[in-house]
Amino acid sequence: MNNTDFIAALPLIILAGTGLLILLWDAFEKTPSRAPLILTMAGAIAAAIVAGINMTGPASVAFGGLLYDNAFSNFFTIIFSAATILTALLAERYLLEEEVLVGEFCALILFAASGMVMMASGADMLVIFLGLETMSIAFYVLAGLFRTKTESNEAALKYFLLGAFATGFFLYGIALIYGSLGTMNLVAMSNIHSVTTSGPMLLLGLILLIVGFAFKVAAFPFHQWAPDVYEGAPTVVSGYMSTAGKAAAFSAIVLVFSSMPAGALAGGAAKIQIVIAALAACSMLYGNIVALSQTKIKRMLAYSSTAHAGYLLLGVAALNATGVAAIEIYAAVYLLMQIAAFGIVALLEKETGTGLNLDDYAGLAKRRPWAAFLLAIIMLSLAGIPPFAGFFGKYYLFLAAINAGLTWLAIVGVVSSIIASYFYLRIIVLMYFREPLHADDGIAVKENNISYIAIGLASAALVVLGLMPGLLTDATGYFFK
Amino acid sequence: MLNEFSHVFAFFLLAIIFVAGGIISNYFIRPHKPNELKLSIYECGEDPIGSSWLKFNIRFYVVALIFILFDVEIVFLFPWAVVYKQMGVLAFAEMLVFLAVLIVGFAYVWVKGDLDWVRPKPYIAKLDDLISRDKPRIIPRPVPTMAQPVPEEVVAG
Amino acid sequence: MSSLSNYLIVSAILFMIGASGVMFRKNVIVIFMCVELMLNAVNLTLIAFSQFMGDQSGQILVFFVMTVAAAEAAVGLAIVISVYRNKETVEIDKLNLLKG
Repeated sequence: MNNTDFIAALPLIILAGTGLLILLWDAFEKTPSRAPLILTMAGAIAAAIVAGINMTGPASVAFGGLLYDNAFSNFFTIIFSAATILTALLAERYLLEEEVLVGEFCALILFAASGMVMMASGADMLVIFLGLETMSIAFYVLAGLFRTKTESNEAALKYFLLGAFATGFFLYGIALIYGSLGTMNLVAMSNIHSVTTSGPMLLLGLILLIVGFAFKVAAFPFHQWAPDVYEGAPTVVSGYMSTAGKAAAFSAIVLVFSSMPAGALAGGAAKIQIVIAALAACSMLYGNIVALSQTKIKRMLAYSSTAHAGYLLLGVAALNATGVAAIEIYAAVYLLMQIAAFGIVALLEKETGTGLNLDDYAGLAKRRPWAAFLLAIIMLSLAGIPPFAGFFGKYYLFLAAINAGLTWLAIVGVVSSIIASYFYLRIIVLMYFREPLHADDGIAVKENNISYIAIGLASAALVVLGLMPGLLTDATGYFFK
Repeated sequence: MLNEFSHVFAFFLLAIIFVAGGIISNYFIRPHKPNELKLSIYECGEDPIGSSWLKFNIRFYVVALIFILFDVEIVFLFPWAVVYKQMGVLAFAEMLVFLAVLIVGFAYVWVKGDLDWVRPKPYIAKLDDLISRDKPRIIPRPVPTMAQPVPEEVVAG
Repeated sequence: MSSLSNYLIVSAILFMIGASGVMFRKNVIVIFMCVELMLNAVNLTLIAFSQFMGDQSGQILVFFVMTVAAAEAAVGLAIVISVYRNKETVEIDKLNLLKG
């Protein structure tokens, strides 16, 4: 153990340390203030900067093969930090109005972020498991943050029960993979050359791992919890869970799958690919078709997040260099889009919890022109319409699928994107070409410049990245050096 | 013949014989003179009141939850103790960090009043507190009510 | 000594009992106990592999699973308590506020 190990782990240490600091602050400081939010942002920015510096350095494995320090892990560290910063910015006004303990919220999102970083940089399945649990447990609490609201309680309970259930499958998968390959270390695993005889057990382990993972990312047959939880949880938290949490799960699954020793599965590799491709196709179609019939915006976004998990699974099914890069790019883009979308919903939400129906968005352009404009950009990007960044993210994913010989899957993806564009564009039509349905202002006016700045930044990033996709592809390019 | 499990089984058998033998011989030797007071349920010398199937105060659970967390963390001390001599100062420093993290959690629980029997109401910042700082702020004060609407029929025995 | 497969079969059965309990039971506390059963079944698998392969990393993971399960239990029961305060029930069927 030496200094370079600690430098590799520094983003993780910063995130967790800031969380602990905020906990202490929260315990001893009785005066309400914005300090925890500012501290959260400072910590996340510091972590992102350190990760950015690490990214330019040589790739290595720290702590005797426990933690990766390469472009992949640092790229994800940066986007998790960005998600934390955006969430903290959006949370500011929302949480203070909804009367939630701000210190606890900040500490929890930082702990969740440190768990995600562990998932994206774990070089051992133990570290990945620990990261997954650190993140999930923080999310369980975050979902139930509104202690006195029944919806929030229920969301937390559902999320907790299904999350713990999924953890069981995930862990059993890890145990069987460990048993059949004889090691839990991903570096050691990828260096195994002799083909083991325990093919079926390894296959079962991978399938169980996929089941647990599909629960966590709300992919098709395991998605039922997502709409309920995203609807009941605090809106800002839903945005954070559905983006950063999913990106973390995808980073972990890419790490595990790309470390599988060649030939260990023999004929099984093709079966696994078919399973993942089927999950991807079903998630894309089901998520988008069901989202068509939703009348509540948070549920609509939840189903669309299932569809987006399907798009990302397409990259996992391909599992080639393009696929991994495409997952990185789309994870970053999706994170910006979805957090900003939930941010606008939080902004327009009334204190009583109304203002969440699609009808409430009718005629929004006349009442809140800026909110409508930003939401329009986000919706166009979610629909994957050029020149916004969502288009390029999808383009690379479909390209990866075609390169891997999964042309049918890319076609399913394109078809489902066309279906999806209907309900994304419907919101734009509602906002710009319809009169407000309610005589009174359907949505309470809350002026909040900080939220606007956060959403504006995310939308600007979507436009810039859409016009110059090279910025992202260069960043992921380090991975393949 | 005897493998590891038969040793265990022998101990198991011995334990059953020891306990059962005590109870059975006791039954034959003891005098049988029951009266009402002797047959009543023994509860710390007090007359029992009501059924024993009561709702316990929710504070018990909270304290138990906190206990479980700190209790299980001890599991990491065992492997640490085994390798402590070989690793020296580094192991000591790492355990200090580990305990420091635990202590932060403990301090949080303590200061927040979760270890008190009557928990103070959490003070939640409102927007007005931040916007109009000149306005007199509500000082958080411990409210002497039970934090939850569970019937208070039960107190520790 | 028994063979590895005995341990694996027992833990697989335990895991399935736990998983079916999660799917079919109605009481939240019982569901939660079933989840714990699943985790402990996995622990048994890990220890069996670790013992028979002479590799220690499985046992180390078991330590972590135990502590993680305790943390999960603390958070989960706290959530159950807060649900009970508001709804006065812990039956999963009665928690039906969020429906599309």
